[in-house]
Amino acid sequence: MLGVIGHDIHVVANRILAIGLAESGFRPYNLGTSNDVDDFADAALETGARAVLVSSINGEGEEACAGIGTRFAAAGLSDVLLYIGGNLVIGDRLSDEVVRLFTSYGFHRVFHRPATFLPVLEALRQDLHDVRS
Amino acid sequence: MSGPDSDACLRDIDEERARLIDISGTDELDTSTARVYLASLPRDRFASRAYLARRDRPYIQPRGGFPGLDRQRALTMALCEAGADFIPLTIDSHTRHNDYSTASELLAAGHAQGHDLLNGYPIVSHGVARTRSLFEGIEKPVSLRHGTPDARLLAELALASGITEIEGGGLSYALPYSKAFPLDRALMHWQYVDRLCAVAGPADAPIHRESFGPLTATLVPPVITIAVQLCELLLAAQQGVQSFAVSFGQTGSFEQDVATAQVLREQSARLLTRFGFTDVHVRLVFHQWMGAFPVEPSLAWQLIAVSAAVSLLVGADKVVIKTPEEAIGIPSIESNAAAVRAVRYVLDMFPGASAVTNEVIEEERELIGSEVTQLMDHVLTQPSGSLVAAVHRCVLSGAIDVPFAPHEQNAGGLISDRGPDRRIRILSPGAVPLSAADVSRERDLLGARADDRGALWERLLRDVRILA
Repeated sequence: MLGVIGHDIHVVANRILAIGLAESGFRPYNLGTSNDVDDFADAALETGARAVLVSSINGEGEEACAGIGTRFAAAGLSDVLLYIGGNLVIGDRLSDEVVRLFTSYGFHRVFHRPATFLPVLEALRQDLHDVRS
Repeated sequence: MSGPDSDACLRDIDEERARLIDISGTDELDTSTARVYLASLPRDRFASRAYLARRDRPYIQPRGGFPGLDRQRALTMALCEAGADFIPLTIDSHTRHNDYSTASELLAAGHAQGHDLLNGYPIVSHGVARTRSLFEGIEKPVSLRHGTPDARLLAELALASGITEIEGGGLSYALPYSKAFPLDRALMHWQYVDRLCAVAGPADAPIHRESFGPLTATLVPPVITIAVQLCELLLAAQQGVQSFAVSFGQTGSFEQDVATAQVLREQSARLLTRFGFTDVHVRLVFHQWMGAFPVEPSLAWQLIAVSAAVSLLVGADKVVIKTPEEAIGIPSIESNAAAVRAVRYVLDMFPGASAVTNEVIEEERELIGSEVTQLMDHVLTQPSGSLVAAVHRCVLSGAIDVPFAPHEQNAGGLISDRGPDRRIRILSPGAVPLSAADVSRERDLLGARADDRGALWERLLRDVRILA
């Protein structure tokens, strides 16, 4: 499952990622834009998603993602993979610092300003190793 | 018939304004605040007046909004000093979605943590007095840049703060900027903003409205951009707006940029004349490349420079500029000011450059012009009681269809692609009413695509990053 978090309306990469996931043999469910942590948790419950790919381009993610791991655990979703990707903070900050921050929120993988989706697709394939591409 | 007519003008909106201001809880505002303050401002603060002056290059408009007052003031001064002709005030995304309390909380939290948690200036949180102070001593027009489906309160505060140009529109600030804000409400709220702009300015210096042509800035074919601009122009004219800018974003093809500018001008004039709006001044605004930018500063500078030259050659009245830090995020004050100086440097190289033309541009102009006439005829002959209802209907039916728009009421049936010459082409029009001849012309011009191999997502991503 994938979607953009916050009042962030950057939808283009989200659409393309959904196409890329489908083309790579995954079954994506796309929430589109304007979601909060609860929307992701509710939809993960409803769809039985095994991985949730959250994106943020305008930097709102820093505030909006806080506590996502706890929220998922509380909903009995602690076995769901959590990825975050995009342009994750406002301003230019060290990549290591950004990864640490989002890992502390409960994300299993952090993709800060990736140039392409290949590493995302590869990581997902690896993490869900029984999914065939 | 669903054309614009004077009966559709909202006329007296004071009652609705009073209610809106009352609900907002502000004690800085009543329905006369904006009018009185604007009347007291020197005339060089008015965008509509600036556009009346003669010039031999486009005006330069940067973007920019920081959450804190001091930094926004520093940005304003730096942009002024660098030679910007229009000063921006860019609003944060929480305020754009009318979530004023979150904007206020994050303004305070960011201040406490020592780094920004908002991507723009939260004008509702700051209020009128503080916002006025940003522009003290500034002798240039200030433009409100945002992306707000319901901008009524924002516009009230902006006008009362001495901002004389309001960007946006019921289509251009809803379809690309919102997922679920009901389109009919967005259109109605923008009728309010148009009417407010029409009544708030002094008689000799009307408030200027500007539409937002780039839309999603992702493979948007010129016919869609132009139709959205024309709808918003007519809707504004109907509410009494006298100064209006149509705009578009650099397409990635020089020929298509020139042709788009020409058709925008021609069709604006044609429709205003047809409906008797002879006192409306139309300006043309060009947005530098709105897609993904190169991270490498030396490449970003080239794009900014070439795009500045294009703005001149399309005959734009104003160019909205980017900075070398576009790929990174919100630019620093220094980078923003440096971009203003660089664009000015380029524009000054070709004083009074006149529009170019060639066979390819003519071909584009003819095709785009024919498509626009076709689509606008469709909009203007809807069996609707008003233009605003017709426009709403045309989005729902997919006649007006913006590629990659996040809005759930956008049809998403039109499929576009980029030809080998980098011109944007319509692969399949969806429900956009184009003639069979134009559709087949679009396909011919697209030709056989060289890079049809590989995954679709890779092709799309490549196009999104075509200049990155």
